[in-house]
Amino acid sequence: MSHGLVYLFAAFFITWIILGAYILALHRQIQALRAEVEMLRAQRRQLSDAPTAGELSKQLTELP
Amino acid sequence: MPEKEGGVVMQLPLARSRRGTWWVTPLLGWLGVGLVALSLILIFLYAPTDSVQGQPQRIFYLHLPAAWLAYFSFFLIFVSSIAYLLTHRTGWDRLARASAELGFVFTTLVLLTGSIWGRPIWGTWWTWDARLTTTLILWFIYLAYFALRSYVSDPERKARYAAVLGIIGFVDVPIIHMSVLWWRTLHPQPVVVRSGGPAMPPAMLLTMLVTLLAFFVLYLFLLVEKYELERMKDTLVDLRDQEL
Repeated sequence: MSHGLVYLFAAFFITWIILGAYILALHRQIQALRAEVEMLRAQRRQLSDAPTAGELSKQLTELP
Repeated sequence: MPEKEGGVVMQLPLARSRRGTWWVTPLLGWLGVGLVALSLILIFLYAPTDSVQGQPQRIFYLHLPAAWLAYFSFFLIFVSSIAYLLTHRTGWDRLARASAELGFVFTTLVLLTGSIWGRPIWGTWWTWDARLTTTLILWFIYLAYFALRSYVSDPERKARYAAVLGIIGFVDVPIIHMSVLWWRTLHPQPVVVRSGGPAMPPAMLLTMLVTLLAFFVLYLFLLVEKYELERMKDTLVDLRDQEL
């Protein structure tokens, strides 16, 4: 392979490796954040299903 | 925020994210892949070999779009920084953050591809030529932008300081473009954006335009993804603050 081709392929290889690695890193960060968001969403759902302080005190006063 | 008797139930503001626009990212992604494939075919099978430089001249098809996107990123930072200072809307700051990271990636690519191209043509990996030096300064401005963001803890002040740096730093972009005209340099004069039209054969021009379009679509895909990532980060910070 001539010297010119070595430089040509080196430039293309490095460019696509950097862009590929960046896309992969971005994708992984998005996946990680989505998982965290889902976890928080589930926690909030549990919180919203749980009786509030007002509901609890009402239940306590209604106890025989 | 809906209220229940005796307590407050907070809702996640994430459900509204990307509703109705979910198809944008896959569309840009697949369009980008198709255009990149087409541009590779054009670069290696259609574009003629340069009679003076030979095969290394094909690096031009990577180098030029990367350079334009590096400048475009800073232009986006410049515009969104002004918009942020005028409106104080977080969305503009988020756009500046997203463009800064992409700009850094593309400026790195410009420096690397330029260096690899320079070795067989100029006989050196690097020279303190005006175009190369001003591009390296742009790379350092991007680094300074990230450093500033990481050192300031208050989000409002962080966004304001970064916006000021984004506006001042943009001054380097026209200097880079004009450097080959203002100073005597090793770097060639503009061959595309010049008075009298592009100075290259039609086959090379077509290949360059398709490659430029492919890189631009890829850039938009990355920008949308990065913006979404920044939006999710902001939301998580808000939610954690609410929990404390």
